[in-house]
Amino acid sequence: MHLEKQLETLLPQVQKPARYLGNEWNAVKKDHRTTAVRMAFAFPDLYEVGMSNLGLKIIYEIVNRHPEMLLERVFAPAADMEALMRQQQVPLFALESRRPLREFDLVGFTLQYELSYSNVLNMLDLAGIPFHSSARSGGEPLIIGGGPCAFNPEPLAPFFDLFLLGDGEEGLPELLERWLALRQSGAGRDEILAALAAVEGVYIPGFYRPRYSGGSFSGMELIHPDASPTVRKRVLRDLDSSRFPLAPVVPYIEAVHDRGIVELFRGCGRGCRFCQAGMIYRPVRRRRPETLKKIAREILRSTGYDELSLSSLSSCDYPGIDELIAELNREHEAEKVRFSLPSLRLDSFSVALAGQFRQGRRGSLTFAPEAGTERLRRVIGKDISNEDLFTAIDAAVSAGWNQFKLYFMIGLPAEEDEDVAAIATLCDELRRRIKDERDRWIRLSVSAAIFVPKAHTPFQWEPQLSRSEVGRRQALLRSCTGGLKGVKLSWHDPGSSFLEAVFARGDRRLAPLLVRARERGCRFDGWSEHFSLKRWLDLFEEMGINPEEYAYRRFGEEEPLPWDHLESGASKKLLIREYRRARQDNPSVEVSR
Amino acid sequence: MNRICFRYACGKELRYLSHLDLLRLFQRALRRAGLPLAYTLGFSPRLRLSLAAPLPVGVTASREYGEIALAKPVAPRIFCRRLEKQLPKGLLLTGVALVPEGAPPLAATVNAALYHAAWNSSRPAPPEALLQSSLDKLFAKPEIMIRRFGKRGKIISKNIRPYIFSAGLLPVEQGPQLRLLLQVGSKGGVSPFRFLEQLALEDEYTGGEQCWRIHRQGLYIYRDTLIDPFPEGGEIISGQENFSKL
Repeated sequence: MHLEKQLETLLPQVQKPARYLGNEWNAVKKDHRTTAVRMAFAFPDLYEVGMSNLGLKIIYEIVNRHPEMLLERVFAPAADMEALMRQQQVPLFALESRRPLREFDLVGFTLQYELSYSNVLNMLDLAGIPFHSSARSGGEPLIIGGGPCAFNPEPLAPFFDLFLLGDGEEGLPELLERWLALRQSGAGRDEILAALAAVEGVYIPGFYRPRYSGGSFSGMELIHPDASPTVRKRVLRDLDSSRFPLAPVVPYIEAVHDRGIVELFRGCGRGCRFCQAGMIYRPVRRRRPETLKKIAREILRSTGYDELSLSSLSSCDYPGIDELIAELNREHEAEKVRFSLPSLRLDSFSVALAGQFRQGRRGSLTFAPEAGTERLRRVIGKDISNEDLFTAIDAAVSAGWNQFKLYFMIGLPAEEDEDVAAIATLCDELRRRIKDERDRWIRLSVSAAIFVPKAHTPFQWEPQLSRSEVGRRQALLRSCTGGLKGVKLSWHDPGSSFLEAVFARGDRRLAPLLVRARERGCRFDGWSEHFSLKRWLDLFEEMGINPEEYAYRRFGEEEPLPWDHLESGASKKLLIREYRRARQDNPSVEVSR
Repeated sequence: MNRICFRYACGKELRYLSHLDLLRLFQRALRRAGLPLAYTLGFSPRLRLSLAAPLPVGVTASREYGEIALAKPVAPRIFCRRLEKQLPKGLLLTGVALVPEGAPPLAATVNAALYHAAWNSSRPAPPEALLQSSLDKLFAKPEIMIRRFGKRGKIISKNIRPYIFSAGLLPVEQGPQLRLLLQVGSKGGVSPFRFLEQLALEDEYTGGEQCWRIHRQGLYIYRDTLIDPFPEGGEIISGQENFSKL
């Protein structure tokens, strides 16, 4: 094959050529000539990031197990590989078959974070696929999207033929089966889209036209007879008996999360007001302990991993988590398997749980208090006390840990300087009380992210704090934590959080800007070495768009929002109620009930 | 202590893996194989696994060696049967042997690697006479200094002349091909890529490291003669020497 030969000359010249091989353990290679539905799953970031994603593993399993379907992976090539591909005119290809992306029937992008949007366009460009849905013919692949950002996909709307909202386990196979039947019946592209609109969870952006008045979004107009006024997300009812990836692809190079994943439950029973995942993955659905133990056993046998992550939005909330880990430890004692939890709830982390991680002590434990004061934590709906934090850390220290990561946010609604300073006070108190007992400093890594208002959350109306004010509060935090030995502070760049906020609440007027941003070389905006705020600000100015209107404005409760027609499961009424309660410092009503 | 030495070939499918990638691959394959593995003690138990002389990225190989400690004895035949099922295409077990009690680890004794480099470029191949004269010129030098970036951007110079045991042309039909015997291991060494780079400095027609495809024929203990490091009496599983064609 021609492409194969070209690759042979490229691979010796790039960093980490094993990113582009596609022959990893458990990779599935199916015959394109005898498989009716050929889909590529595109992850708009580097291989080692994408290979850590649970969604990819699930979709890979669900589609490839189907005898008539195949799914291959493609990631954003790193800058060195991209340069060579362009120079040698090598089109973007899927890893398993090394076939060009444009030879596939469908290309599905997973939209995990807003700062990967420039990569989506760049990947289409590298694949030689026209950006705009309207410019693509029946011979081009259908471009579909899913993942959290599909709940406000408007900045990307003109580039996608459809989005699938919600869980993919049942929705995607149904979509692909319908697509196949339509294709076999000889239906054209428009006919196919019209029929697919009936699949629950499918949003076809081309069937809707936004209206604007006085410079702001004023509502969605339905311009196709098959368009429904609202699109409800797909919900997998029975998680426990749904198919889970038991033999995931094992990367050769080190992935960001280089371990197996067992998903305990989907959704989150907490109602943190800033958290989009907590809203869009509702309701809570659990797997039974027996199912989980079987999954763990199978994954270990098929991959050879020595670590399994027990993953969920809030894994400590799994009923009987202590016993589950104890049983897993017992069963896999001889193979020296480590079990880890991604991040821990302070109020449900117990001494019993701390004791279960015998082999994990070399690592660190992660807690997310989010805010420095109890008052601010009430505002954001994360109702935990300082006492909870102390109890949790004490438990962990007595079980042998001495390294902790603490996640905070700067710029939360109603944040005052006291709240910022309190982060430092809290860290100081923590290290002192533990030093008293153990006579050695614990190590605290404190990460201060920047609040980004997200669609479908009670804080979707809130403005983001201006970059200069974020900068001032970050400086305040730095000066407060500066003298604390053992405390390491890291923070996010206000510029990239600003861009994230623009796209998180953006509308279709941003699409032409994305096209131009890609031309100007915007890629990997989530990577500080690639991100340039100035380049983006210049683009906004050229296009006559005021980005602050999206990021810094308080949206009105009565105002139509560009994502109002997409139903996440948390109704606008509920979001408004929580938004108002937040402003009275009230704890959240647990929204999933 | 039950130590097993395994010999393997690495084909073109996996030649882009780094040494660490290959170690990870073997760790996981050994775990999947369900063998009784021995672990280090302490909070983070690790396998006692080593691979002799890291294979440079981009190079295929015929006779590479690894060593693994087991918690209890396993017959080489059974070890082989279990492990080979867990190896991806591009890796082939070609021999398994028990390591005699008290024998030093292979990684410490192997000190020479034999490479074949075949011309692999769209550019016209250099005439053999020219290659020979470049080789002669290079060898006539009392020292061959190379510079590379070390930690924190520091430039490190080293003389690679002592690490070149021999280099010459191979009498093959579809040439040219070079035969390079280079030092590897803890006492210093040089990669075939650096050697070819230096050769190109003598004469640019020799093309530089990008123009050659390199295959590692084997690893040896070099003391006047080349000694095969594979333990005597080892179970030779397969003699597929042609597995990794250049």
